[in-house]
Amino acid sequence: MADRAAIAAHLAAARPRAVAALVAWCRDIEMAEDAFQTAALRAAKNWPANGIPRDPTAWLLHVARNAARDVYRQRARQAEEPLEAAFRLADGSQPQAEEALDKARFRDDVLRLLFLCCHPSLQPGDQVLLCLRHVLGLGINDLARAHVTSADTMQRRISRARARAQARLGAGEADIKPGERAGSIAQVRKALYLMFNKGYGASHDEQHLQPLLVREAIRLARLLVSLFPGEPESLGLLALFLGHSARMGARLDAAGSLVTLPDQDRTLWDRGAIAQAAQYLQNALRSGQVGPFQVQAAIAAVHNAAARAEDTDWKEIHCLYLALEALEPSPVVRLNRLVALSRLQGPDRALAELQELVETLADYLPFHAVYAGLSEEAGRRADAVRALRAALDCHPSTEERIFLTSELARLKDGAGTGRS
Amino acid sequence: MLYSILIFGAEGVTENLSPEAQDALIQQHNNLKTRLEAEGTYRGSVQLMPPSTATHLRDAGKGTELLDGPFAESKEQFLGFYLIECDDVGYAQQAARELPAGVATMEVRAVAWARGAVTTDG
Repeated sequence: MADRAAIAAHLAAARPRAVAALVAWCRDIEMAEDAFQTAALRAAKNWPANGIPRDPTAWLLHVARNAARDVYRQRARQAEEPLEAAFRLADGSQPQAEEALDKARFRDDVLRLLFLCCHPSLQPGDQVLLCLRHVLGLGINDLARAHVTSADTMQRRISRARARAQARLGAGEADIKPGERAGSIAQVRKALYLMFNKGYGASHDEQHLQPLLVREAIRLARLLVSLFPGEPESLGLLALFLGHSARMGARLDAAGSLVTLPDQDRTLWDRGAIAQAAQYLQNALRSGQVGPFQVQAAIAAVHNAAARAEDTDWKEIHCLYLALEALEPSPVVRLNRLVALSRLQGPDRALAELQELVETLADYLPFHAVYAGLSEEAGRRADAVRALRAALDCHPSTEERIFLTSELARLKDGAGTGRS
Repeated sequence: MLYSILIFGAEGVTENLSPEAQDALIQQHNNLKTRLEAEGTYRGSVQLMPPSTATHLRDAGKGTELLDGPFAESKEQFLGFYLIECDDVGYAQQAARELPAGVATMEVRAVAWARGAVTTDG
């Protein structure tokens, strides 16, 4: 006898491959989704009594294909078309009867579905929604709750995004030729990175999105890694996600205020996730093809390796940021490198270099937070207060606001000026 | 006699359990460990990291080559094992029965030879 929790877990694990194979077969995302739902319902009825099949994906695929065929037949009857016409697919070919579950094809099917959901022509927010809905199978109600919207609104938004993706599918833009595989995987990684960051750095009042997006981005990164284990940047991405998510339990204090890295209770970090991240990163670095995700994962790993904040190897972190700047120059990377530099040489030189970033990062909250911290360290309290005020103008999340306000109060008290 | 309980399951299934179901699963493992320890038969247990962390060593003709982890397949993967010291295979089979079966399959196999932290030397 199989219990319901186990069946749900098997369905969730089989889903990306099954739906991807169905989309490749009928070239219709909605039809594939409906067919999978039918098969999942049948499994929920059948498996408790008969046990979980040895290959759940193959079982689901078989049932789902039969369900889709029934729908095609009905449509043909309504339109009084010959059955063969109804079976002719978007690309003019006939669906294969019972093709063997070819593993290599399976992998490309999943990649094609991921790429379709992460297609560059879609808004990043819609990319995330399509991945959650069609690759991972999250329900409309769960998605609506996480986005604080009604189920109807969520349904409409997903339908619109799916129609756009379906058009790309129809135009053959999701077909991946062997030479283009690496580019498609890179596009999927980019979308997952945005999903994770949106979850990890949820701003305004989006805290409810946080655990959902972080968890699901990790699931998708695991899927990508298990499909294409030889891709060092995918391994780096998963290592990066695991390395950061390991600290989730220590990021908020009892009052709901954000706890910065140096002040976090490191005993709350998830050691299992840190160890896994280190393993994926080691495997990635073995390839000798270093990329930005691997370097970022390495930075997270150096932080995670320090039992106490004062044990942090800032020299190593500074070197890694230099490498990251060389690979992918950006003001944010430079800001982070300057934080490392200040730990090595004190605040003055870092503050001087930060001046060059004032204009580019004027709307970037962490810039002002860093500026405030270094100014205080350099004994320039008035500058620190000004920077904290600037940070509060950058639309902080609730946790960030609590943190910044308490910092501001502390600085003013310490300066002996009292509260104005 | 030293017996092993080898645990197999499809990659990713356990992670797809709800947090409560995962806690229940860990509890089942802890219960077995506690019972075996009380009876003096527990010799250790190991949970492996996901198969995607693995590297493979294969003879490539020119010497042993290091390869990346296995491609994801729907077939079951090796997830971990127990070591139990007892005289009767039935005892080990009963222990395997107490482990969560819905997300994994168990194989009981006698250990031919072991040295180190665990040993087959009396």
